[in-house]
Amino acid sequence: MIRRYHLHLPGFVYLALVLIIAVAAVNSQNNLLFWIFGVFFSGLLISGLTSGIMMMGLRIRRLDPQRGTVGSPLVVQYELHNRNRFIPIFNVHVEESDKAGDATWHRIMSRGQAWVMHIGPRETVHGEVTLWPRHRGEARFDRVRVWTTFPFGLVKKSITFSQPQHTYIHPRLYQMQHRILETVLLPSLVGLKLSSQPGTGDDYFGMREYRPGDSLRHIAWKRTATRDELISIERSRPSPLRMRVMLNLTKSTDSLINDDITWEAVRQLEERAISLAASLIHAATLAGYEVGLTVLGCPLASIPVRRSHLHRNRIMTHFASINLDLPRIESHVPDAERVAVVVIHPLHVEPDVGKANALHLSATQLSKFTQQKIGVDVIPASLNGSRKKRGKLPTDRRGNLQETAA
Amino acid sequence: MKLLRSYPTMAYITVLLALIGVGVAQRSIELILVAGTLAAMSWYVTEGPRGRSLPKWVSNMLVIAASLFAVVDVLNHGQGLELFNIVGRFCVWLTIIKLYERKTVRDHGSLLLLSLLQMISGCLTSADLAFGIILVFYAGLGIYTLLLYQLYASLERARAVRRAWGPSVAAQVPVIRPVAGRRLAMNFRFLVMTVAVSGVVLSALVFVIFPRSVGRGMINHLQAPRVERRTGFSPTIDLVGGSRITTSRRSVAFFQMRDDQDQTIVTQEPIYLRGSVLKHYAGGGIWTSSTGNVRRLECNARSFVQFSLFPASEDEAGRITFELTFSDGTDWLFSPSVPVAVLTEDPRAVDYDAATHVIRTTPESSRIYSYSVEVLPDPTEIELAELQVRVAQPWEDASPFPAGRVRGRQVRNLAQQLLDAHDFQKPRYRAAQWAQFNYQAAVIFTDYLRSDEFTYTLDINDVVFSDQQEDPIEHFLLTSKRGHCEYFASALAALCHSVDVEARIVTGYVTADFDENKQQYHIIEANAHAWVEIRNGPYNWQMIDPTPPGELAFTLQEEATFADRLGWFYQDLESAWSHQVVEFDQSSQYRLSSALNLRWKQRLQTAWSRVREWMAAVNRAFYLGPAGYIWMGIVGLALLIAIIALIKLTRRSRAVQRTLQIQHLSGSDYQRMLQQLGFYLDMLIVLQKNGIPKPDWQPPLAHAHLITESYPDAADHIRRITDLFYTGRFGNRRLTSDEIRQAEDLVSGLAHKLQTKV
Repeated sequence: MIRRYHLHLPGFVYLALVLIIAVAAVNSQNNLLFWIFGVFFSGLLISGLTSGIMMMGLRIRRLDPQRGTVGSPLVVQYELHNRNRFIPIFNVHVEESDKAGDATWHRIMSRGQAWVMHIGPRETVHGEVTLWPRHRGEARFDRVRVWTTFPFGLVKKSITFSQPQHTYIHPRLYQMQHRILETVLLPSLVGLKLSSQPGTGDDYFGMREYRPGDSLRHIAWKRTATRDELISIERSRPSPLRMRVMLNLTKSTDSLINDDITWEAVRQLEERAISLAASLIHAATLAGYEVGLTVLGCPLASIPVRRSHLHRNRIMTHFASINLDLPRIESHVPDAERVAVVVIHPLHVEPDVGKANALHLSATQLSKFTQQKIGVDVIPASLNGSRKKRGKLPTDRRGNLQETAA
Repeated sequence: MKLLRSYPTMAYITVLLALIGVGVAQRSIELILVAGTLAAMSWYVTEGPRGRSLPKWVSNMLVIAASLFAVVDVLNHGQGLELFNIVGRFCVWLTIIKLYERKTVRDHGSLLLLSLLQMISGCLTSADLAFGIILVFYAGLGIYTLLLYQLYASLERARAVRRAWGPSVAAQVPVIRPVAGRRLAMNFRFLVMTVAVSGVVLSALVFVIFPRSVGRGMINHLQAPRVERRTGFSPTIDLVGGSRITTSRRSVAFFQMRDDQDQTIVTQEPIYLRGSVLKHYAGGGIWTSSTGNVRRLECNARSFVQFSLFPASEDEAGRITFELTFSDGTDWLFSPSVPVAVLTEDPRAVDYDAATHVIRTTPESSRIYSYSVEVLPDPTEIELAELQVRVAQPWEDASPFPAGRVRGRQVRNLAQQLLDAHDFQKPRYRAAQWAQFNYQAAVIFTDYLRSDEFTYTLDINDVVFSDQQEDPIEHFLLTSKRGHCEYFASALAALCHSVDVEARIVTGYVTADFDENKQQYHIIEANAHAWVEIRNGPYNWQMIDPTPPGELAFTLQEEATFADRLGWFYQDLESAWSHQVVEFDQSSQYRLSSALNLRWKQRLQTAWSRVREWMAAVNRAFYLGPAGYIWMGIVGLALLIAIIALIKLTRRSRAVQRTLQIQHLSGSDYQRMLQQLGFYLDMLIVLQKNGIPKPDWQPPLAHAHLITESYPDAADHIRRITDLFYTGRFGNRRLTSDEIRQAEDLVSGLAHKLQTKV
């Protein structure tokens, strides 16, 4: 816990004013000016004392941050507790501060401030800050800085708490073109299968005796008529399409560089490949597919084909944890799996990767398969400390915010 | 949020108050009316149902116009204090323009800053109580508004950030709402009160201890504004142009009379307090004083300073002491005749004119607010002679009026006629009989002036001089026969002068208004008076008042009305304001420090003497002798050590209780844990000192695990200490002494390891 006082611009202006009043009072021996000087001087002392006393009793805890997605707001909540017995706390700002020398945080996350107007004595309130993830990856929260300029805005008193935590920022998602999944997957149809278990699907599975609770619609009336008991039709378990996305990152960024394309562009293509894969999985999950993920070239375990919200989040976290800076490794391609395979390459398609009937996509084709981004890019100028950028944000003809990260 | 919604109203009131403050400081009713009306209208115009505001370019043009106007004003009248008046007015117009603009957070801040500048300009130009009251209200309201502004600005800035994101983005994030705990308004008011009280105390402290008279005029010779005073008293008389005689019931002073037994004296007779003595008639109705042989005396607050160089007697019996307190201070030390000694509230010099018995402050010193004079009610010739030694001329040598006498022929004829009517002639060559003649002549003239021929009036506007060269005194005596006390006194002095009777006019106060509640006499402005003194001995002057006695203010028997009392209350405030605040100077600091020193010295001495008495009593009771003091010293020291140990023990117990969270326990378990598990607190303190605090919400085991990952070197110690802690806290058994010793050793080892590492 680090406590500090900062004298910022209003404080300097105030100090200058106090000095001018002191000189004027001494020069003219005007007692009202002496009194005003006393008021101003005591204002400075009280400002420092009050904020110091207030902040001395403040404790903060960052609540477990949820996973974020590039382009979507990440709301981080804090629990602020006032340990003072009598003194309330007013006008507290909370902001995340990265570890000294570590620029990861600002690469991934925009700045943001939580503002808590009041914490009564021995009370606990919850504040929240809206952050805008800029980049996929692991966001490491380190220090929480709490500051106030209350009561007079002259002296800024801050306390920095060390609370290391981390969360994953999922890659940017794109809305896929209409019926893109059918277009991509129907030619192979390898993901289709018939279920061998009864369930709630549409296909016929068999007949059985009526059980209380069966719908009247499921009663086989003809068969019932031939027998002296109610017979129900049993349906098979739904068997969604199965798809495995293979992300081909076997080649390092440096190896993809040539005269036409720079290192940055290749890295951007790799990120786009990740986004394309994530968007495809996102769309498939929404469409009811079972999906799995294999990242080739990275030391990450292959994720089996499943379908659930948790499974989808697991895959997204997998994407978030891909570190493109690590050396690429040889990866095993799972076979003997009845799934449709989509292989996504950053730059050039390599047909040898994956199964023989796999569909190969390139990150350069991202714009062909996607309609628009999900979420927005928000880099508020006021939060980034640049006054020149304030004002109207760049938009396209439809009024959507333009992509600034690219 | 009701509190935040109240901010615009509070800011508006603060700004309005500052506008009024500037108007009051500059005594400009026009400014108050025009600026106040415009400011009041701005609320309806900008915040009303139509909600219109000035376009930016219009407001910019207006600001330029106001600036040009201010520059022209500075070039024409920007001298001295007027410069600050111009600055104040400029701030007023800027404020009004801003009030009509669309207001952002920054504009709200600018308005508050402008209001502050206005009040500062007011401080530079005014010392009135009315402005002081506004200043105090402004300070209180300003603190409240400023604190509210901090909250309001934070909320508006957060909203502005959201607005900058655009509506589509803002729809995806939670709405900004001020996060507040319970009893927000109450807590806010509490904090405002705390800040205000602290501010008052601290500012008063700075005000009192800031060194005065250091650096005066180091940049320029701009002086602080002076408090205007109205006392009714004037050291000169101007019958034509003067207007000091009023019926105002404004309070001027209080005084008490005490005899040599320190008993308060109350008399039904009017008491005349002499201020200035006027011997020189300059013509045209103007009387002035002439400087006599003046002695400078160094006075103090401890003992009376005697005027006489050769005291006739050390016996002070028969002297009357007057203690006077003036609301607005005075340059003249009023006293009845004949003053013989003076005592002032602070060390200062006064000038004493032995010929006229007039006392006044020196030109270099400030006004005096409180003083005491000793008076001889019936002085003997010897005492008077000693007072006037080397100053007064003996009777025999007196040459009547070498200059400054009234020489009107018609006045002389009138005086002679009056003397002839009483068959009264001035004795020749027998100076010893002049005293009797002077007095009797003055009595004859006084009877004439008190006759029905003359009318006392304060309204002399209808008195028309037929000839501009006509002397006002002659006009009063021969033509108008209407006037106030100055006319009567001047007429008597003129009649006396015309027949070579030595006479002088005295101005001062006369009162018989004794306040039973305060047990002192009260002087109001209407008590200002002028009368005459006739020389009736070598060193003696006899007072004669020619004004009809029924016309004086003290004889009018007017009961003080409610308005009078209200006015006096305001005057008391004004007096306190001017005395304690506006004119607080080095001498005031000296008085204050002396009083505080004296009080503290007295208290310390009293306390020390009581301790000594008590120790002596104990010694006597136990027959200990001198060794008893050593014994008591040892006991006292042990007691002190015990108290310190008790305080430390209590603090540690509370810390252990808080750390172990055993507040809900009681009985033997509570005591056991309190005594045994302090080592865990020690471990936490060691960790905290090394920058590894344990959050309150974290269980000890989780905390230990977390630290184990970060500091593997200390992991073993922390784990073992935590295990012992769990054993004692939740194991439902008492730790053995070995275990406790082991835990303490582990804590020491941990401290050693972490400190070496860190």
